[in-house]
Amino acid sequence: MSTLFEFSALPYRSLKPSERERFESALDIQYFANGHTVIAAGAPHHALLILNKGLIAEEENGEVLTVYSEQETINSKALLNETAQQQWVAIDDSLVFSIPRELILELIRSNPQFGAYFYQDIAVRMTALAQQTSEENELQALLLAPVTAAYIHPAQWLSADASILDAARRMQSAHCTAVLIKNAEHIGIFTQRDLRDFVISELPARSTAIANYAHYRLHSVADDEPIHAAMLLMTKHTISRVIVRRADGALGILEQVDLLAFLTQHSHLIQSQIERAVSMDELAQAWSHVDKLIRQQHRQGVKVTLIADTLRELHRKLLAKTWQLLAPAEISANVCLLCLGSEGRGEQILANDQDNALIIADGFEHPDLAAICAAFNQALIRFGYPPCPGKIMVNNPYWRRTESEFKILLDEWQVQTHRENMLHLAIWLDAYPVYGNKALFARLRDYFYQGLVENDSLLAHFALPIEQFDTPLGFFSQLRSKGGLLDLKKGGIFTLVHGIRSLALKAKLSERNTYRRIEILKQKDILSPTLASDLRESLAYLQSLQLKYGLIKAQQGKLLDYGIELAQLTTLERDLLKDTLAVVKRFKQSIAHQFKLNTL
Amino acid sequence: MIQTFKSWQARRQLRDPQFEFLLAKPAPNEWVSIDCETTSLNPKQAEILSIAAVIIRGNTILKSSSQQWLVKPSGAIDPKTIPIHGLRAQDVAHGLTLHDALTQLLYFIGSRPIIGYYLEFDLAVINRQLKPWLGIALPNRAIEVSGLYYDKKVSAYRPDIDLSLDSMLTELDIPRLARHDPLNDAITAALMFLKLKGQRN
Repeated sequence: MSTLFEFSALPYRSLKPSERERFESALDIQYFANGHTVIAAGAPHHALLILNKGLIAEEENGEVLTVYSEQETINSKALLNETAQQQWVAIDDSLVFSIPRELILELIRSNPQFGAYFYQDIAVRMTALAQQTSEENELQALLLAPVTAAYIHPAQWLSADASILDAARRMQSAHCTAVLIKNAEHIGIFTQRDLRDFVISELPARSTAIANYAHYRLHSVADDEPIHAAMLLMTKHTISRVIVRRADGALGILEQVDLLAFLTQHSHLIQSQIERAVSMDELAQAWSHVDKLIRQQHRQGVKVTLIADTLRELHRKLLAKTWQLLAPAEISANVCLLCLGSEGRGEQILANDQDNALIIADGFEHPDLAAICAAFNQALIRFGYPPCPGKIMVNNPYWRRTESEFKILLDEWQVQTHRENMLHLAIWLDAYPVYGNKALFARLRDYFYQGLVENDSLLAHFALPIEQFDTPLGFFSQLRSKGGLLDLKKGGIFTLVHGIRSLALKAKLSERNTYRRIEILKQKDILSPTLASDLRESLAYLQSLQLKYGLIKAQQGKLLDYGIELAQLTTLERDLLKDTLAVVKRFKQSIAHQFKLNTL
Repeated sequence: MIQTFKSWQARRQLRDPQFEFLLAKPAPNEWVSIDCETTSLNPKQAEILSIAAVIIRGNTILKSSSQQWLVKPSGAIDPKTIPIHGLRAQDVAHGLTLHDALTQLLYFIGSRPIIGYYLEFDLAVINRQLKPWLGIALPNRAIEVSGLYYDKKVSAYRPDIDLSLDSMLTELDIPRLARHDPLNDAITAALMFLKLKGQRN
C-alpha cells in the first residue's frame, strides 16, 4: 500500500502500523485556493486537518494568531471542543489532509502517546509523554559494549608468601574484594569468599600462606571482548568476578556488581569511583563517565527531574572530593565549602558554570588557603565546569570570607537593594554546604532569616530582575527568536526559578530546590494546586529541552549555553514550548502584581 | 439540444436497463477521477489490469471512499509494461473478471463527469470492452486535465505548452505521489483538476 501521508513527524510517528493503515485509509484531501476559508469561525470541526502544501492562517477577530506551514496540524485543539472562535483561512493555494474526528478520538484513547498531543492541560500532556517507550535496542547495545566500558578494578597484587591476614588487610585498605598473587609461573586469585571459608576453618590467619588457598584456574576475558562474554563466564562458573586481560599485559578485575551497575546504569558506580579516588587524575577519570550516564538516562526516557536528582548527588560528591584532595583536614575543619545557584538548588545536569563560596571560621587563618581555593576552581574547570562569568567562585575574596564578614554582607544586601546585591542575595538563597564545618553555614542561614523583617521594598527589588528578560512569546502566541535562536534561560527558566525564589524569600522558606519550593508554597496556599502543577511541568519541560539540545551541542563540541535553534524543534516541541511560555508569561505578570513591581 | 438527442439515442441503444443511471442528470459539484493500468500501451489490444476511481465533491477528494479493482486479464501481460505498473500475472490472478470489475466501476462513477490525465487512452480501452455487452460507450462527460491546463496556459505569445505530467505538476505546484499506482494517479489528476478549477474561479 502506498502512503500519501508522511508519518515521520510527531505525533503521527507514535502511531502503530495498524493504526497508520486506518489513518491512511480514512484520509481525504481538500484543496483551498488562496483566500478561501478553510474553517469558518464557530463552524463545527468534523475532521483533523493537516496542511500538506501551502500556508494557512488562524485568525480571530480579524487578527492573525498563527500561520501554519507544511506538515503542521492546524486545528488539534479545536477538534476536541468541536468548535472554535477562530477561523482558518488559506493564504496560499493549500492542500489539506483531513481525518475524521471519530477516528482521531479513537486513536487518542487507544494510543496515549498520540493522545498527549491533543490534551489541553499541559500537565496531563507531559505525563502522557513521560510514558514514551525507551529504545528497545538499548540493552543490546549495552551488552555488546566492550568490557572496558564497565568499571575495571585495578588488580591488587600480593607476594606469593603473603599471609591470609595480609590479604584481609589489603582488601580492607584498597576497598577490594579479591587479591592476586603470582606463585612461580601461576597467577592465583584469593577472594572474599575464600576468606570466609578460611575463617570458618579456624586456622591461624597470620601464619597461613595465601598461596595454599588461592585458586589458580582463572576465568578471563580480553579487554576488547563484549560485556556479554564476561556475563556468560560468570553465569557458567557461578563466579562473581572475571579477570580482564589488557592489551599491554596488565590485569584488571571486573566485578559482577559493577557489571550489573553498568547494565542498569546506576550512578552508584560513578559515586563509588569518586569516593575511592585518591588523585585528581582518578577523579577526572571517574567524572568522565558522567556524560555517558546523562546521555543514557536521557535516551532511556528518564524524566529530567529524576536525572537532576541523580546528578545533584554526583556533583556534590565531586565538589566535596575535589576539596578533600586539595585541602588538609585542619583547614576543612575550620571552613565550609558552599555550592550556590543552580548547583545549590540541585538543578544542574550539564555543568553550565560553577558557583561556589567559602565560609571561614572567625579567627582562623592559613597561609595556603588562597592557593587551595584557586586550585579548587582550576580543578573544576578541568572537570568541565566553565568558570563563572560573575566570578562567584572561592578564588574571589568577595565569596571567601569569615563568618562575621558574611554577616556584614547579609546585612548590606538587605539595605542596599541595588541590582547586583539582589542577584548576590538570590544566589546565596540557593546555597548548599558541600563540605567542611557545616555549622558555619547553618548559623549564617539562621542569622539571615532571623534578621529578615517584613520589608516590601526589599522584596520588590529582589523580584525585579524577573522583568529584565522578555518572554519570547509574541502577541499572536508565536515564538520569537533572535536569528532563529531562543534563549531558554532568559526566556523562561530564570523567570520561573526567580519568581519562585522571590515567593520563597517572602515566605522565609529555607528550601533550595525549585520543585521543593513549589511544593511547600502549595502547602502554604501561596500557590494554587493547578498553578503549582503547571509551574512544575513547565520548568521540567524547559529543563528537558535544555538538556536535550545541550547534549547535542556537547556532542558537536560546542560551548554549552541556553540557546536553542527553533528550527531544530519538532512541531510538538514547538507547541509545548508555546504552552509553557504562556504559563511563564502568566506567572510573571502575577509576580509583578504581587510584588508591586510597577511602583518601582 | 444535441445533448438531449445523444442521450435519447444512448437510451435506445443501452442493452441492460439496470445501467440507466449512467444517463441521469449528474449531481452538481461532483466528479470522478479514474486511472487504469493495462497490459499494453496500444489501446486496440490493451487489457485492463487495474482500475482506480476517486470521487471529488466540491473541493474535497474523497480518498477514504476510493475504490480500486484488480482485473484478471484473459491474455498474457506484455512484459514491457510490467516495470511500469508493477503487476505480474500472479498479482492479478485473483482479480475480478473484467465484466464484474466494469459493472462495479459503472455503479461507482454513476453519471458524474470523468476526470483523468491522458484520459483518451483509458476511455478507449474501457469502451472497447464495454460496448459489446452494454451497447454504448461511457456516456459521461470526459474532462482531460491536460486540456484544462492547455486552455489556461495557452496564449498568442506562448503557443507551445509542455503537457508532460512532470512539467504540469511543477507549474501547478502539486506534490508528487508515487507514480503508476492507479489510485495515486487518479488522485494526482484530481488534484490538478481542483487546482485548475480553483484558479479559473
